Amino acid sequence: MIESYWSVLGEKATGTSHTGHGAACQDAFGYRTFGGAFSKWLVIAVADGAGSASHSEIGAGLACEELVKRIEIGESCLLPTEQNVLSIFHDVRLVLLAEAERLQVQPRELACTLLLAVIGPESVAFAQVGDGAIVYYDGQEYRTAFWPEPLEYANATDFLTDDNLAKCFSYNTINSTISELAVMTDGLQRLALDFSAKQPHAEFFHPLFQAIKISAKSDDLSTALKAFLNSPIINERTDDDKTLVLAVRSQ
Amino acid sequence: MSEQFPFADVKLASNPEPRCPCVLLVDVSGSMAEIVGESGKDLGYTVLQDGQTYRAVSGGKSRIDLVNDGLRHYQADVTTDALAAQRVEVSVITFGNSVETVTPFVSAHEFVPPALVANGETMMGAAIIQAIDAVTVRKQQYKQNALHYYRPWIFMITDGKPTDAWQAAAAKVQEGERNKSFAFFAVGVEGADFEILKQISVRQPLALKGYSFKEMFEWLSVSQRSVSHSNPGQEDQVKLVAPTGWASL
Repeated sequence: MIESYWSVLGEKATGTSHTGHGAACQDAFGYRTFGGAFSKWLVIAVADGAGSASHSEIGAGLACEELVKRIEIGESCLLPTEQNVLSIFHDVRLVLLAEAERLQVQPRELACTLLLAVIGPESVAFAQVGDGAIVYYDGQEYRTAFWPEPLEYANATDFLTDDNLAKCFSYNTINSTISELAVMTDGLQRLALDFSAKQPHAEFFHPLFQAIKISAKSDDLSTALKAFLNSPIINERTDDDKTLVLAVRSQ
Repeated sequence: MSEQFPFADVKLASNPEPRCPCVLLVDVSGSMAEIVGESGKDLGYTVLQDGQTYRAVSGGKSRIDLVNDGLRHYQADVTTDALAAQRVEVSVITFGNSVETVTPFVSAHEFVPPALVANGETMMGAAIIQAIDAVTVRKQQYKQNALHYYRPWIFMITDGKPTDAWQAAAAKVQEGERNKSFAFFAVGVEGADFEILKQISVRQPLALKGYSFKEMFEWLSVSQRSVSHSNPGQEDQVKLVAPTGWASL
């Protein structure tokens, strides 16, 4: 946990359907905090590698690393625009395609989703390709950046490596700052969101954020979060990989 | 808040499980009553009749008996998997002299395998249309109840040729496959008209090796278990086990 303006806690756990087959966790996440004048900024990326793709854990890892690195923040307090972020997603996609070529595999073998949150001092930008969810607390209630509409099964989930990136790219901003943020892969979606009420399940998020807030700063909650993601109550409901990144404003 | 575990108070959202519907479309025409195995097999016990002790032997198993055994095997196998047992939904529709929905859609853990009896014609065309209608209605029910679901499967088993008009059904299968409304699989047992099956099914019809119904239903169970473990919308990525153990292309 980084002890600064933002407390960030992130863990990933391999789904039981994967552990059974000896496969690695294909999720990845990355984040960046900033010092000095930019301490209010926070960038978080999360990616879910396609289960059927042979190198998707490489794709997911590379996508998060490259995305977080490429998001630029400036003195102006201005967030990257939709055009900025889309063009960065394009660049990250090209990195994946180049890596596929280097590994001599089809781009499809590095397929992954990609989620992004850029928190600035006065506003927040979200972007997403594929499934997974971004949840934030706006001071009154938990909200999703994009509601994951139940897809007709035939629409395969979008991946960064797909050809129609502009079409499956979502971007959204809110013009206030936030105090709590969670980014997760779809392995947790049905446990953390209430699909009949179409909103985040507050009883899922509140205790998580609360635990981070009350923990002594030196506490390392990472082990506990990892244990939570691997716990039987989670694994009875999902056998997919699951990643959860939590950020709490500490001031 | 637990001292030992900081996240003990976290409560999970209780969303219903996504559904994975499958229609088993079974030919019960007269030829399915043909005895194909185990005739005269020693059943391992004796019966006492009119003061005489007789060794009991089997009267043999017909094709439909083997399908019935396979259905029980399938049900037992799917339900060993806790998630699949809740997600897979089964309906059994038979076609002989008439088309009958023997089992309307039920979840795998509620599925009671029926004892099918063979007789009559092969009303395959009407049966296919009834199966397509059944999955269409089921999907509407899922949508009304905000349930997530997987692409339905229609899995047809036949040993003959249609005795009714099948061209309209073939057109509907092709349209449904094109729109990804369902996936249609055809398995032909010895005696099936593969030329017609090829015109009905977009996917290559599978020829059952001998009477390996048990292996076929085992494959069906394994396949649906893997589909039901994929996330809805991503089942195209699931790699199905090749049906080589029980079928030839």
